[in-house]
Amino acid sequence: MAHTISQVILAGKAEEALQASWSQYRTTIDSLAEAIHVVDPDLRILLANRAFTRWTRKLGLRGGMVGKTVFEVFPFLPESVGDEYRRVFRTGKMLMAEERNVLRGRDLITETRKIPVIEGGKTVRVITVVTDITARRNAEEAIRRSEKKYRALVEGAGEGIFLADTEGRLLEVNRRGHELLGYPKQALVGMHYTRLHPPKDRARVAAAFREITAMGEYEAHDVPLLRRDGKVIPVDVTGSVIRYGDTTLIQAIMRDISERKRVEAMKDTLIRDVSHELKAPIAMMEMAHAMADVAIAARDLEGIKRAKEIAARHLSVLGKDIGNIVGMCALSGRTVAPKSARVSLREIALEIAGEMRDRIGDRKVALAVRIGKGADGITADRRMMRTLLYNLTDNAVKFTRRGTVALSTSRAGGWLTLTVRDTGMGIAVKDAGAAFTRFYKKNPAARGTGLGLPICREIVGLHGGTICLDSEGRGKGTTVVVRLPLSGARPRRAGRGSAG
Amino acid sequence: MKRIIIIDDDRDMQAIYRHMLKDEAARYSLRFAGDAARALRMLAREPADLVISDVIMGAMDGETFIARLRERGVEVPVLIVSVLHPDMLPRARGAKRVYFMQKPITGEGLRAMLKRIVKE
Repeated sequence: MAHTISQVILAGKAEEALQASWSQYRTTIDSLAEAIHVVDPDLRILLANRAFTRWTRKLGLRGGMVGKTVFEVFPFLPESVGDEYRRVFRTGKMLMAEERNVLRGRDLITETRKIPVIEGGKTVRVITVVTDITARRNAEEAIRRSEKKYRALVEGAGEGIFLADTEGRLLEVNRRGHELLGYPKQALVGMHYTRLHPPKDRARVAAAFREITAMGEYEAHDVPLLRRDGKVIPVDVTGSVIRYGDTTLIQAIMRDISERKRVEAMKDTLIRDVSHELKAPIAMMEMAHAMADVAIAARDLEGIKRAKEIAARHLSVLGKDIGNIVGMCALSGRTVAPKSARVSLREIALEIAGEMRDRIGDRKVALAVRIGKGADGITADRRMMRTLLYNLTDNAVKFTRRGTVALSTSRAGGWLTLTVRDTGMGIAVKDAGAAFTRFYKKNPAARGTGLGLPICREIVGLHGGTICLDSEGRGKGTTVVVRLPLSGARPRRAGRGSAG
Repeated sequence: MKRIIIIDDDRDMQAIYRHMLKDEAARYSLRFAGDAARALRMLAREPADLVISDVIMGAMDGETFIARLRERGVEVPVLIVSVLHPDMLPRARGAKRVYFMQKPITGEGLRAMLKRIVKE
């Protein structure tokens, strides 16, 4: 009996100890900051600590979960979670898993550690520590996305982006950077930045690099870059320092300014040429005027006559140049439409031939108008036809030192073909197309505005015709062929005249 | 008698030079070249004391002419007479013994300039 009592007492003590240990165990678990619950082999929740209850409440789940299975409390859990628990109960080994669930339309990412509680060699309970890693994973995802966006931005940038360490060794160069320097992808990585510049500029560039490192930023205009093929291109550079943690990087952004420089140079040449073309005849008239004064004082009649002729000629040149500039503006601004009238190209050609005599001067150039009386009638805008013939003849005369300039026409199939052929200096085949470009001059020092042929093309286009320039090459003469519809213009918009 | 070669492809400008210097026949002998290449050939045959040149001309412009001249070691003074301001002619400005007059020029101005260059 005593034994029994002692046994009862013992059993009571053991239970007490067990309860004490369970209570201690609860207290410990409760005080932990991580969300923890404990399940039995039927996956019934025996205990959920305060952090866990708080967390589930935050998720909008109802309380009172003790006694219910995990699937009753978390109906959204996949069946695989049950398998995981069963595995821990069977093997007695801890299991770690990341779970992605959707709760009320929102992602819920958790990391769970299922820790077996082993008593008498058997897993009797599993402690589950749940860490909500949704925010962490979302932040990581955002960083990945932003990194991807940054990469796309850098790779797709129209400017060369170079990243170097403080020693000047290139760590990253984007696609445009490789293109600028003519290197295949990634070939610049590892190279020293000084090698991107011509040897004579390297000391200056090294000083700039030191300045970026010291000052944090730097800007330089018109810096020469040495391409892999040996060509040098100008760039504008913006340098800056990037610091994170213990790392310091130097970033340089380079913009190719060759096109801008080319346009600037072209603009300067254009201003120079046009102002020269306008000022030259005015200066000639002024000097002729002064010459007339001297001649009048000396009663030198021959001198007065000469001065008057000079003034008249240059007045006509000025009128023609201004006419070309204004005409080009009107033609390209679509503000003119051709007037329809019967026009005799022969008459116009003969008139122009007379005017050209002075321009030919003492050069041995024969100007021949080979236009028969019956082959010259066309319905077109008379003034435009005059400009067309004048510009073509003037060009031919200008580029022929000695030889012949011939104007001829022929008719076939409703079209009139006008040909202006000279035996002058000709044009290289590759330059023939460019001759129709506004302000184009093969020789920049040649006289004229470079508008003659572009105006011809506009006029021919307005009349529904075509114009093409042909030359056997330099020194072999030039032929311009214009085709115009006989039965009046079939007007197209200006600028559409095809040129070849 | 100082020998002057005048390069200008405009016959009217040639006439103006003649008129401006017609009373200086005892001091200067004038020869005209219609283009720069011709002037180079003339200079190769016979030296001159001064070359007067336009800038914008047919095949070879005035600045290129000066460069060719100096390449050949011909140090003759060159007077550039152009409507362009000297600032627009950097190559000519950089060369030695090059003088500038901007058109329109006067007979008086031209004669004074010639006197100065020849004296130098």
